[in-house]
Amino acid sequence: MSDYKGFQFKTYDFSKQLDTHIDLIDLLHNTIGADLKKRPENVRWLFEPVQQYLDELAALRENPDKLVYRHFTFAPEIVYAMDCISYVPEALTFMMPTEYLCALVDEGREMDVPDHFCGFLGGVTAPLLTGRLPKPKAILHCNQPCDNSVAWGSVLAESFPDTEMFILDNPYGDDEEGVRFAAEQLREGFNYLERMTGKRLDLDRFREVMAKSAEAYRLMYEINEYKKAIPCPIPTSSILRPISVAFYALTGTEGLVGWLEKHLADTKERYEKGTGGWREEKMRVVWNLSWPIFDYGVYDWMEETFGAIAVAYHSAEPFYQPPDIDYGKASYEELLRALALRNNNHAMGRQGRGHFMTFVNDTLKWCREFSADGAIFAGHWQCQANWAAAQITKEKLMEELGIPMLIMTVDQLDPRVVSAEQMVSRLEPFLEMLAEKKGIKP
Amino acid sequence: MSQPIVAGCDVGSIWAKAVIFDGKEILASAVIPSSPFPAKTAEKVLEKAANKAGVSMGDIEYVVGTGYGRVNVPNAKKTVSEIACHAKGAAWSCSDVATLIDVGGQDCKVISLASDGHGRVMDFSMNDKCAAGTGRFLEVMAGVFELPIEEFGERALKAERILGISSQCTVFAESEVVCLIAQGHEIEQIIAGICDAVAARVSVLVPRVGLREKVYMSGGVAKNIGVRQALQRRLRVTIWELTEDPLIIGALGAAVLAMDALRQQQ
Ligand code: SF4
Repeated sequence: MSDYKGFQFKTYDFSKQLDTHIDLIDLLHNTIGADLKKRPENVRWLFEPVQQYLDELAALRENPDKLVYRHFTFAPEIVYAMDCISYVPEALTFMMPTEYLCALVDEGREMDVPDHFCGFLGGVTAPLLTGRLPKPKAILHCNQPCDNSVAWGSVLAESFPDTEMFILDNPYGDDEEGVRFAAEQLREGFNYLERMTGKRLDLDRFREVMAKSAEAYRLMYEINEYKKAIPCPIPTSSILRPISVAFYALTGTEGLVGWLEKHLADTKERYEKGTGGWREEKMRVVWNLSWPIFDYGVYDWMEETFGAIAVAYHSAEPFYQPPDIDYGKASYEELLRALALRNNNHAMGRQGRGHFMTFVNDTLKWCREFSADGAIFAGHWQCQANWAAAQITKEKLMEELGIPMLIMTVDQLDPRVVSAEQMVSRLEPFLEMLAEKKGIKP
Repeated sequence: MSQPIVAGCDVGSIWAKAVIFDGKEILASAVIPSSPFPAKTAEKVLEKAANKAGVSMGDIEYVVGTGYGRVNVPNAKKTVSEIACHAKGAAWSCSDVATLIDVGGQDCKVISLASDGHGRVMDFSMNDKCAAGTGRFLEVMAGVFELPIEEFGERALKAERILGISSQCTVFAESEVVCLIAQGHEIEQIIAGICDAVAARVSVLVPRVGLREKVYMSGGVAKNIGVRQALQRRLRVTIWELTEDPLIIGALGAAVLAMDALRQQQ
């Protein structure tokens, strides 16, 4: 642990020789399992989505025919509707122990993976290109949210040259034409999956998946209403990993609905008792884009030093408004339309596919709804697309809500690029400024 | 009753600064080079300033630490970021500061201050992990010419034209400068180009917070007339001089905050 004003951040030993050829799912199972055991029993349920996703990946060993690679901003419902299991190789990096991730990034660099390729994708490039990840039956790719992830398609193509890939061309616009455009492609997507997996789409299953997806979103919106209360009953920063896994990988599953029901009951109870998060809330911020996956201690530091709570995370809040239809009887066309809407409003993808004002307006929306005192734009240095929106978002927030935004460069996975201490050195003056504005003594 | 005495200590990447303050006046200040041991450096600079002020360390009732080494300042009851300290120190020196450009050893910041003259930070922007546009950049370049850094600015003023330095990175700029020397360009013109390159890096930070007058500069680089003039040219504003040494503004702000904290405590 390294010390910052008496606060401990993680330290790493990058000199260790790691066996990067081990089974990554086993590695995640072991490390995440050990991490969960360290947490108090009464909060372990919060991490169920992570466990659910890892269990699904482990189940692939018994059912290799169900393996479908899915880009992280492609709605998982399409895979569940086909009774397959979605495997998002890049998502492994975000659950990996930091030293492993860095070793894998370095291995990729040695194989000439370009520097601009982010660690999120670059961390699994070497295992893919050297045949260490399982061969999928099908690959669902798409053209959002950034140039890097579009280029990532060629890594997949090179890794599995005889597996045809489906690439969804996400629409630019948010109008009905954009929904229709996406729905038509998703129809082709189902045809593709049928051809590649040899399975037939079961309409009842599709109905069930879309109904569960709608239910998950309904629950999430309800939870969000409670989260707006002061103090925030459950800051997003304390559930960033499970909530991201939930909405990037598990929508459409029974497990997610069950977890969100527990989450809602807990949030409601905390709200009724007036209980905030783990620490006293003195101010609140909306966190944008990347977060320090390698050390969540940055949030602890913010809370402990300033009482600053990250109440909402721009890309883990719900955007999809499920259409109000009878899912039990819905037609294929209605379901395709719902799936198109869901896909067009996938977190990150939604902000990465069209005009950059979507990003700006989404930030304004969350800041307004959560009564934020400030916003933090933690831009991953290799995510070029969203950087275009940084300054305009800052100006709009000041103009419309009178709140400041900190713009800082981070690497969400690799502390060798920007460490927790370096992040804190940017956050500190910003939070001091908010504290002074609010007349709070840190 | 005698005035209480407080101190501010700013341990930067190149210099460590300390100010002894009684709430009305700067009793003394000291500046020494930073060492790899920030706690020792802080102790030394505080002692030096205390000696100059004719007080003992035991007379100092409250110390605030700032700068990169702030967490290592011994006896500091509080640590505050450089941004808040520079704003406080600059406002204490000149109450009409609206925009403060602080160019230190390894970073540069542009701070927008509230107009009430109390040194409240309204917004700020700072460079990322890059030495270009900082004191370190100038130091490396001065090393190429084997010139004392203090002479750099004056030499730039003698140039009849400014040679463009296109490399943004310190390492590449260094080799570019070596090439320009080898090509026989006048040293003054190259130095003017270097000062302008620093100003270019710093000036891009200004629109991020919005330029409001009056504009002042703090930090060691504020003493470099070449950079100051290049910034004036680029920003098309007058950059005013603070009444105190720009190098000690962070330490001064820390001392002002120390006095505030002491009064609140009492
Ligand atoms: S959005 Fe950023 S982190 Fe995500 S894939 Fe693209 S470059 Fe990588």
